[in-house]
Amino acid sequence: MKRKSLLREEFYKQGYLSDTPVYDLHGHMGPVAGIHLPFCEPEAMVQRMKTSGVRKLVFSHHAALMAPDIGNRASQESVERYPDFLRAYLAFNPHYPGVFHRETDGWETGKKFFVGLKLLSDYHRVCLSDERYRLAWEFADSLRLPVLLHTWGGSGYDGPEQVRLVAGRYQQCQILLGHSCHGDWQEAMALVKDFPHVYLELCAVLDERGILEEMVRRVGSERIIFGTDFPWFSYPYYIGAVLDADIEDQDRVRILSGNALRLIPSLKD
Amino acid sequence: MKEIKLWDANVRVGRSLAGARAAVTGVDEILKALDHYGIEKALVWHIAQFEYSASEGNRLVRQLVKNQKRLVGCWAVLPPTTGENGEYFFDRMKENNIAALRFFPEQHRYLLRRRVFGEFLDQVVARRIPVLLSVKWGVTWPVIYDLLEEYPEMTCLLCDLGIWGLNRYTWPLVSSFPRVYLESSLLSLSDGGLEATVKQFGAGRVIFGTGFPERYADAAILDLLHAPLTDEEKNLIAGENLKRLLAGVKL
Repeated sequence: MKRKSLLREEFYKQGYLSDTPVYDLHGHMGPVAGIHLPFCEPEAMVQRMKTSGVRKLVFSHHAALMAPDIGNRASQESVERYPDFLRAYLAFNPHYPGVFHRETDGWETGKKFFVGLKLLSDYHRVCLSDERYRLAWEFADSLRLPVLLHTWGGSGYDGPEQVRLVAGRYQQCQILLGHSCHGDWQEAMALVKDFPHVYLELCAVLDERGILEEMVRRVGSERIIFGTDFPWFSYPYYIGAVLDADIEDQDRVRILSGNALRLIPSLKD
Repeated sequence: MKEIKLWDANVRVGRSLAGARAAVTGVDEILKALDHYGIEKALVWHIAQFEYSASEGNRLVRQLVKNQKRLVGCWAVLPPTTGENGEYFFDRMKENNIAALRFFPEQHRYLLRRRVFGEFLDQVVARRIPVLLSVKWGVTWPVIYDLLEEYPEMTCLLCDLGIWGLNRYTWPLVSSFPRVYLESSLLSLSDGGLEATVKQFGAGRVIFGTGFPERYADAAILDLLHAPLTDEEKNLIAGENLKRLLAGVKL
């Protein structure tokens, strides 16, 4: 028999949680090659966040990840327009280290917009432990920044073996396992148990019922971060999946809200 | 809004040979789950139809849904030439509370086209039996496109749509073929997927499904419940469209 959840009842009734503002630490923005995203521009995204009670989204614009000729300025412009709702990750493409040097030279200004780094190894086709990433890792480590990784089970670029290498080397930053090494859940949970600065992240995880319950049981809800790839995935769907899981409401509050604020206190601002 | 009545077009029963965190097996367990989610009725299939044997899986579905008011079964179909579907197929569907069909061409090693299914699928079309084609369970987009070119009046429910290329694959089909419908479980996963589709084609072309027990059912329910659609549109998607399709089946 499932546990009763007041949060679930509240979300069913009104479509948002009054006392649990949601923080989404894995988002994007703008068009992307393989998907028609009907509402991917910042105005529409912010409106949809408000409707579902999402207080802040930390994102990396698709252009920052996939169009080096546009880069991180696309993210920065959106944060400038919606500072109450948006923060960004500075995307690092290991093929273009010069761009990163220029962008981080002005970090005192940049940190108003960017709260951490985003690495997309599978797409950039460079292993996380490769020398070409050292610049980014050392930067994040020196400033104790969160680093959101795309991680995928079986990947030679950002699978669990690669994460283990970099988590051992860089222990001052906070490593968020985007997609929790999708499919290789056991290894992802082992990483979180072995390294106190590594966290599971739920984007694309919640398409398998039961996995969140297992994660909470094995690593504890304090080590699980809410993320959605928004505007890929819908907030009612994703929050709904967390509400459907057979866990306690206090776990849900940590996952949807508290853990993000503990990791990045400035999101409260 | 008023309470909506949910009819779920996409529920799977049975335990997978590969193991799974979530499975439902007996009737009691399924009905208890439907009660928990407030789902009035469900169209169910069995994993053994895919993994083990179409005919044996069909037998398990038959046992499960026979005389059940809240469950309706889907049978899996094989090429008629091998005789594995058995005689008096449509009569047996009627006797056993089966109202829809599923095809698994990749797993069952056949080609889903007129050359293989010929008059059998003409019958399915004429009888307005919903054909459920799941992208997740091995029906590819080229197969779906080619099948509908050959049977343009087929009542077809495209299931487990995923997010990659979603609207780019599905919208041309909905636009071209009048009896193509989209099952909502993963349409709802895509942000704005429901409302964009409804805006384009109306609420009559989307049918609610959860993908339970593999997926968290609250997710699809809440996306529909809180979508910026009218109550009338939500009710069509939630259950009225499926109810109408099932009522139109001629067995």
